[in-house]
Amino acid sequence: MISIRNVTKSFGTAKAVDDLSLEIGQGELCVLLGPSGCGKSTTLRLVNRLLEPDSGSVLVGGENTSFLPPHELRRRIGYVIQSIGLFPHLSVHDNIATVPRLLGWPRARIGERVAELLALVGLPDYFAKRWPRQLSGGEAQRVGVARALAADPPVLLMDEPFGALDPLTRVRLQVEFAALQKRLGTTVLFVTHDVGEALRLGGTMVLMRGGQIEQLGRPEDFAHQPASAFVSEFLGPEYGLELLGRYPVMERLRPLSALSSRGAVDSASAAQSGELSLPRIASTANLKEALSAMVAGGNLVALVCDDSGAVLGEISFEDAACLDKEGEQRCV
Amino acid sequence: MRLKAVAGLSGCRWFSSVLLAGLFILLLYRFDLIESALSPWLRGRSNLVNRASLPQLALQHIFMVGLSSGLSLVLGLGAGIAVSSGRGRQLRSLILDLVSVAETLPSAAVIALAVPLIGYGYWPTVLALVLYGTLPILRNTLIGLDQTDPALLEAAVGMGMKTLQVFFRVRLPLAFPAIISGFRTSLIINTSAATLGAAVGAGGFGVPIVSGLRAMDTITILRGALPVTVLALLLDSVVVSLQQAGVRRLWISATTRT
Repeated sequence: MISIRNVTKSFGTAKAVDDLSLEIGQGELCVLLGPSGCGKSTTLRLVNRLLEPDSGSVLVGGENTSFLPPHELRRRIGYVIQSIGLFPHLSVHDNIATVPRLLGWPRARIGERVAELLALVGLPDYFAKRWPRQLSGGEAQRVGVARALAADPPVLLMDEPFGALDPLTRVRLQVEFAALQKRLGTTVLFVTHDVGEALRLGGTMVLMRGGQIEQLGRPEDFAHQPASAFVSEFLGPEYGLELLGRYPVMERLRPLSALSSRGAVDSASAAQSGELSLPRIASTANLKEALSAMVAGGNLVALVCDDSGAVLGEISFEDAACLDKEGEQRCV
Repeated sequence: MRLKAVAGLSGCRWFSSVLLAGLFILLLYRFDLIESALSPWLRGRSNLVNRASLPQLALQHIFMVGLSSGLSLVLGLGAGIAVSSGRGRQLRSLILDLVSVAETLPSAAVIALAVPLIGYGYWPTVLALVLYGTLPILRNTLIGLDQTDPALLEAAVGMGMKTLQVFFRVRLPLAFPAIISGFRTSLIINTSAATLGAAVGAGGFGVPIVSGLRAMDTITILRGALPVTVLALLLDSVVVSLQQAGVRRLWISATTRT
């Protein structure tokens, strides 16, 4: 969907993007990751022509972007920035309606679309009448995402969109956005410097350094075969543990063993009598959380429970510490 | 109950405008009330001076202020927009400096300087007022247009607005509050400065002020000075009410619903 071919962009003598080539397939979520000044934001802006490449070409949907009028190209590409950039003089409805209006949609269709988008990003429909100053950071960024998706663009560019939010809201929006992206099948190019964010979003990870791609691949590849010392250093010593956060416990669920069923059945009374009591985790938890519960509970087995507290099964330390399907063999 | 009604009334957007308009009309038609109330304390017998009718002077004054402020708005806004966009940008800081210097000139001096250039009377005064009144509008337009958050501009361009669309849909509406506050300054300055026109034969509320000064007649001075003060407050209050009533919102709905 997006092809970046041998693109170079310099500011003065400094090369921000250096002979970079990148292919992003239809419906793919590609995360550009890297430290400040690695050229990831520049790459993003080269796609919607907020910047023009010095050499090389950018194709969107098979069309060379330099042959399209910039404003027409941009109306086909959703764009979300960290500061959100909601227009303070326009209501939420009018903000979301920006691109449809530029495209000259009829009023009734715009109204329907706005209602649809508010539901999509999880906001009640009365938010349409609100003003940007009345929104919390998380709500404002939801509106920002809705505005970017307004004209149903095949491509979405996001430049650290959740960077200014508090950690709790940020994680929630990341998870929701990842699900939304899968559902809509929009091709997304996402810029961040936060490894945890890249992992929560999933998709292809592209680690950049000095305007070039240092490593590209699935998050697991970065752990198994880091391309350089820089990669390991950037991802940090806890990267393996972070990776486990990508996997839900339900994938590794096992039926209760004879040993742990004693702890499961008796857990309420066991707590009083000081007998065996296993740590419990929710069925929505991931492997990292499972390990954390085991460490906290001082046991190598944890019980997985549903919302009502009923025990669904158990997960062992060995199961939880496996990275992926190929990794499973290594574990055993 | 009555208190509640008064409170409700004062909450109304046009309350102060209506009050000031009433006061203004009272001053025009029943100045004798104020005259008789003040005469024990103040020197002067106003019948010594030839009385032009106050409503007539008011019309001259309002027309003078209306014309000059209207032209000031067109000129200041136009020049501000021209300088803020395209090639004019290089001139921006120079023009801001010139405006600041020009604003320190007293309005009396501006009118006095206009006389040798275009002579006595109504039009030199209007011209001087236009020039003088343009300055605050021009300055505030320049500052207002320049204050747009760069993130908003990036969002606007990034979503596919063309240069003119960015200007009319984002930059200009966001500069509206600044521009209107410049217009208010201009209006108040013009209302009071227009009295100086009487010295060069332009008429208006300056007439009783000038003749009162010559005759050392305080009451005659007040016949011009009080209505001018109330008029300045009234015009300002009308502009504020209009602003609150959503001139900007009207503009926005006019430009976005295409």
